[in-house]
Amino acid sequence: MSEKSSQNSAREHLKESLSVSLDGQASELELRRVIDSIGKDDDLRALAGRYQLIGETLRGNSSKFANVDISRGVMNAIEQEEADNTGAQNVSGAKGSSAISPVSGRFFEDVWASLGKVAVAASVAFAIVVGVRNSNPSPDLQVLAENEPVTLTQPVQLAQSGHNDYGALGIRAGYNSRQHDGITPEQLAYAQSLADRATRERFHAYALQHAELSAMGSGQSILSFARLTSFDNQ
Amino acid sequence: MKQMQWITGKLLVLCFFVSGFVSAETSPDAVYLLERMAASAKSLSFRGEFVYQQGAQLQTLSVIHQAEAENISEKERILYLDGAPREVIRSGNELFFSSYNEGVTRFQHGSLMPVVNKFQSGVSERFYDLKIVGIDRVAGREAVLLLVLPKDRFRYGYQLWLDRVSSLLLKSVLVDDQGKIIERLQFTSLNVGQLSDDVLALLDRKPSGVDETIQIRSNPEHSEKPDVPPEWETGWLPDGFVLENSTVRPSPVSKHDVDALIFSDGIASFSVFVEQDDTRVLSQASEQIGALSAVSKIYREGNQYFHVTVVGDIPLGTAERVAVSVRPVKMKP
Repeated sequence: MSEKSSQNSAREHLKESLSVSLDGQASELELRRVIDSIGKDDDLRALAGRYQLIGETLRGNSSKFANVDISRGVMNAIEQEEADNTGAQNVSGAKGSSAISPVSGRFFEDVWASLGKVAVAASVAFAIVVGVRNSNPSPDLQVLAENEPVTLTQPVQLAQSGHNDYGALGIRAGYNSRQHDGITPEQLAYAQSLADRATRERFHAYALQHAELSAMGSGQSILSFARLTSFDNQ
Repeated sequence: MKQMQWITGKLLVLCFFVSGFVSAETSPDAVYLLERMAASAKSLSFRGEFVYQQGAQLQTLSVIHQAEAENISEKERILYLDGAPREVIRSGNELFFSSYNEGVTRFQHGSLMPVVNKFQSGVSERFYDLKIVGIDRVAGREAVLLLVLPKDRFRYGYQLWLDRVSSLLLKSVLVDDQGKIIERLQFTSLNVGQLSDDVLALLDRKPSGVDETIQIRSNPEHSEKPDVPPEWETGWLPDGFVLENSTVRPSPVSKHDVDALIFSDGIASFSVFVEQDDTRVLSQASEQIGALSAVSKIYREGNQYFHVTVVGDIPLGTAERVAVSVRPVKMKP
């Protein structure tokens, strides 16, 4: 009786963790627990799918992929990759065969239990399984393709290698990589810090310009100027 | 704690969910209220103090507003009460921003003043659901709670508490598409009505010295021939956003002039700034601080490089999409 009720409460707890994870609010521990369970528990996976669907509907963007359960595929992919890595380390030359050989459940458990890797793999897998990140896709590439007229004039794509990593801290300096030949990492880092500062100053200056622009005409200057405090305190 | 956050989050989402279905139609009263709020902010004299919260920061500010009268122009003074002393003085077609650290900047407009339809109705009903959901009390005054819910993900939602008597904004909460609160503004005291003489005197106390004057000109082509569009345009805009104003001003960061375009959908607004770049340290960056998203991109035309900067109270994704779409008008196929 008591065992059953404690099981129930553990189950409730797990559902709650799942919901929290979907909101992006989960601690790493909670996230890992959900990931651990979601692979083995069909009910929980179905529940995650429903939660996601509800979330999507609430946000007004039902995804056409919402009903596709790719979690199994992701699990397999991770499993495969771990097998590849370990196989390559242990038996040289056995890489090809280990990639296709079935991996035992025990091994799978071991892999999942290793903390660092799980943390990374789990967050990646989880993001894919439940699609938390697809609400705001990084727009640059597809938008460029949609909107830019086909001419010689194109915006310079400086961070082509990782279009997600820009941000005030991910700035590239210089026009192209050729310029960096013969520049030491220290010099590059210095140039980047200069660029960072310049960007920050520009944002700050333009935030003031925007506040002025939106205040002058609308009369709603309170909000516009209150917002400057956020930039001031950087 | 975590659980509490979760519950609050869910409640908020639920709140949106329920209100979204219970009254799907925007009520005329709500539209009227929003219009009245915009009008009152200009036509009433008031003074008050308010707090502004964004993330972990809480700031106190004070405001004095003098309505436009027969021989006085509209005047306003916003004073930052915390941290380094800063103040904004708006008077007629001039605006002074003085900061203890950075000196005094004067913005001076030519004959044409920008008119930005912020917090006004019009297009906004097509892109937001406006609903009156209740009565509350803020700063000791009775307030009407108005929800402004976006119909797509390109803009933020607002919860606005408007004074029941004057329709002045008493409290504003900005919410993203996940129901997460991004910023709060809330009056702690507000007095509406004629300002006393000593308060009025504060409004006339302009900064003694000006370190930088920014002369704002209407876009030359724009003013001479009203139907000629500005030199730069956006290839993509979220539905409902329209160009409100286009000006040329000296750049705050270089010696060049910068084209400044401001867009609004009646609730939110963002600006697009384009300036020639000759620093040769090009960068593209994006940053989100509270309600403001800022994105900077590089546009190249032959040997010329331009900085495109988008700043506004819109989600970062929207700002990025606008930024990559900015192009010179003549490039239009």
